[in-house]
Amino acid sequence: MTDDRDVAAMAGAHGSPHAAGEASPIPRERQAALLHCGMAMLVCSGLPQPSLAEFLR
Amino acid sequence: MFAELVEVLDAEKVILEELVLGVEAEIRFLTGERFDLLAQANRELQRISRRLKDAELYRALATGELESHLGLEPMAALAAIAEKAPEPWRELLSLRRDELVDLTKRLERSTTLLARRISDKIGELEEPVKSAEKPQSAEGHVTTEA
Repeated sequence: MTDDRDVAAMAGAHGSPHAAGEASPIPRERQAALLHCGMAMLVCSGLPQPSLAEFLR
Repeated sequence: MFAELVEVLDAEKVILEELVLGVEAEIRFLTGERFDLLAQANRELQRISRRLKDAELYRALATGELESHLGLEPMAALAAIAEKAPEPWRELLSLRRDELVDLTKRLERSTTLLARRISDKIGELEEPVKSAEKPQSAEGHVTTEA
């Protein structure tokens, strides 16, 4: 599971080249928002589970 | 055996209701651009999804016994089990099936809407970057030619 620290790290908040001062084309908050959106897309893509639909056919 | 299946289906219904509420909450957080709450809702939805998988295992155990008892093929549908069940179980199982079908449809609608909203939001979030990249590439093109 991805927690906030993972997301922050992936978003460049800790130790990434962007955090070290390099210009990033995407602001950090926007990167984090994009990652949370991506996670939401992943979570909702598996719903509802196909086996339930099969059981209720 | 029938009572056990009814109990399992009731538990699954509660989990599905939580899933629907979770997805609807994600839609609200996304609309309000509350990405911190969206992250929390993601984690909660993952937890609920795992509980739903557990519930599916319990359901498989409960239906497996009934399939043998009623002479049905493995992986029988709930409608087939209900049809062969004696009263009052037939009515109770049919009622659960209707409720679960309604909930599943509601979940499908909500997840479809959520997926659409996420795509739109990702497009919005990426748009300033795409716009900013266009002049840079034009400059790069000029530099290469010079």
